[in-house]
Amino acid sequence: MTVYIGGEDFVTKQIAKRLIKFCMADTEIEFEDLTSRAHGTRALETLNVMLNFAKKYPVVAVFDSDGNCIIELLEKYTSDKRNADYAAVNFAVDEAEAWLMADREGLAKYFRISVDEIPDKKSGDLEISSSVPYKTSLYILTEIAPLSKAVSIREALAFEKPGKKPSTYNSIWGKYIDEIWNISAACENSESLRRTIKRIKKMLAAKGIAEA
Amino acid sequence: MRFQELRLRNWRNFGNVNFELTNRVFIIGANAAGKSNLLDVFRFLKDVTADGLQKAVNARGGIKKLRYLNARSQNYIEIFVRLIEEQEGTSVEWTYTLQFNSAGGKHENRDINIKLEKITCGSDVLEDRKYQDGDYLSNQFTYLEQPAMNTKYRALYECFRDISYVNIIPQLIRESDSFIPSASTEDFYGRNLLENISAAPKKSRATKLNVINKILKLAVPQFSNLEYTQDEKGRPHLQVKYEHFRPQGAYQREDQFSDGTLRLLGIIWAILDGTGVLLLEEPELYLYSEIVKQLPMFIANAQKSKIAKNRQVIISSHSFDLLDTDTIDLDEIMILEPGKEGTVVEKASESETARAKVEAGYTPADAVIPKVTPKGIMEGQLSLFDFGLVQR
Repeated sequence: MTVYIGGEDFVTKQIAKRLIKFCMADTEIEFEDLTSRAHGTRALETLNVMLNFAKKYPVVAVFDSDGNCIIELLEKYTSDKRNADYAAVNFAVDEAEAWLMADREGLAKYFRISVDEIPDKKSGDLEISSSVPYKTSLYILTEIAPLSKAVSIREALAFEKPGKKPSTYNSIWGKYIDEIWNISAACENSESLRRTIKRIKKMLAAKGIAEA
Repeated sequence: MRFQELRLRNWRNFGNVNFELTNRVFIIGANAAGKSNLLDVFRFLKDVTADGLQKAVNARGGIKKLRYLNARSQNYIEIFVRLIEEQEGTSVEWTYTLQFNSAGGKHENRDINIKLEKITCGSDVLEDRKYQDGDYLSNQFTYLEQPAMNTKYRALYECFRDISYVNIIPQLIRESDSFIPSASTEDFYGRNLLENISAAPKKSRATKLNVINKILKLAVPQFSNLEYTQDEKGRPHLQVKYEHFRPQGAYQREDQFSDGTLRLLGIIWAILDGTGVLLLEEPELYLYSEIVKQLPMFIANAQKSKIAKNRQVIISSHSFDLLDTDTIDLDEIMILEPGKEGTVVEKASESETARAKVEAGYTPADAVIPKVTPKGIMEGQLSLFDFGLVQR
């Protein structure tokens, strides 16, 4: 069974794969990346073509909302905003890293730090990212990674140039996303992730691939 | 004459494949999928006509190197080709079948036996011979390689003979010491490109260089006035005017051209020079991606021009850029996929997902390149270059 994925970078694509596995437990899945040649905004620009393809095949895509209104993003990049039934195009609020951080226990264990160092969702908030004063990825780099007792993580996430993600940034996330990230726990701290799971299950059910 | 169908049995990594060929063919596959081995079938047919079957096999390291590793009870090698000859509005279909195997011993250093050789033209069977017990010599020479025998099918012979394979190595063109006049040997690395240009009739050479000049001007805007010249020893050269800060610019010879320029020049010359089937091995190497993207259209235009009218071009590649255009039909793309039972060949238009992608608006590159990308790279993306920054 091949499920097609899309995303704007390594992290969003790995998350898309893991979410599909989560929604299709016990099914052998192969993935094909529809955005292998496009990154960032250029990947979003392929959305119309991706949605055309999604009319026949299962497609799950994950992008960062980066503080933008999701409706406006959809209006900007696709003429087909109501794609929920046949595709699962999802936006993490505000970044995919916020979904990863939403499993506070998992991230603390992986980074070998106290869970208290990970921001907690405030009562009444829908997203853990609301507790972070700036972009989640930047917060992880500046506030969380330096506290890590794992040398490899500290080194991989150490700034090489101010304000720019280190070139080894992606290398730490693969294992975390695949093996440690607890999606159910993360859903408790992120409404956008919970909605994403729901949307993926609905899409897979509509295509007769998995139960809703 | 051009190839319309190819069937192989036990040829290198191909256990048993059969597919049709268009006038412009893109053979796509990952590393070690068998792209070069597939092109080598055509080169082999050329070598059979030029040097004979025994030498063609020996040049490839003998039948053990040539035969598919998993060849079982029927362990002979078979090459079958169907070709079309178009002349003045009519077309004639030719077929050539060659089956051969090891003789099982040494006979004057010739150890390949022909099991079957069959040639048809239209509905006429011109040759149909099988292995004959006892007469080992006649079993070791194809009829095709013998001029006294092949008069009835000289057109087929000439088609195979005129196949050219191009895999330009710029350093060999630039390196003047590598210039060795050698009219009788195949020049697939472009070593004798300058000699070939020199040998072309003056008017034809000027026409082709004019086309190349226009293309080079796009690729290297500082270049103009591409010309053929000879040095004091009579050795051929190409020179261009290179415009720079001085008003007159300066002239550069091929030894000062960049690798990409030389390769582009060699590929374009190869496309324009000759009428036989042209095999291009990974033409994208050394070339700027925007040039690579335009190569398919250039080939199509050349095939419609008087210079390279209807010339069949078979291209091996794993370049995304080459296919990243809507001017390629999925029918023109053959996908090589290695499997446990050898490499299989699938026409891209027969892939439901490839068709769906193109219908959705993706380019052929988006449709087929993921099919030939090794799964490990698709899955992990970092696995090749992850030095274990994080303990896995």
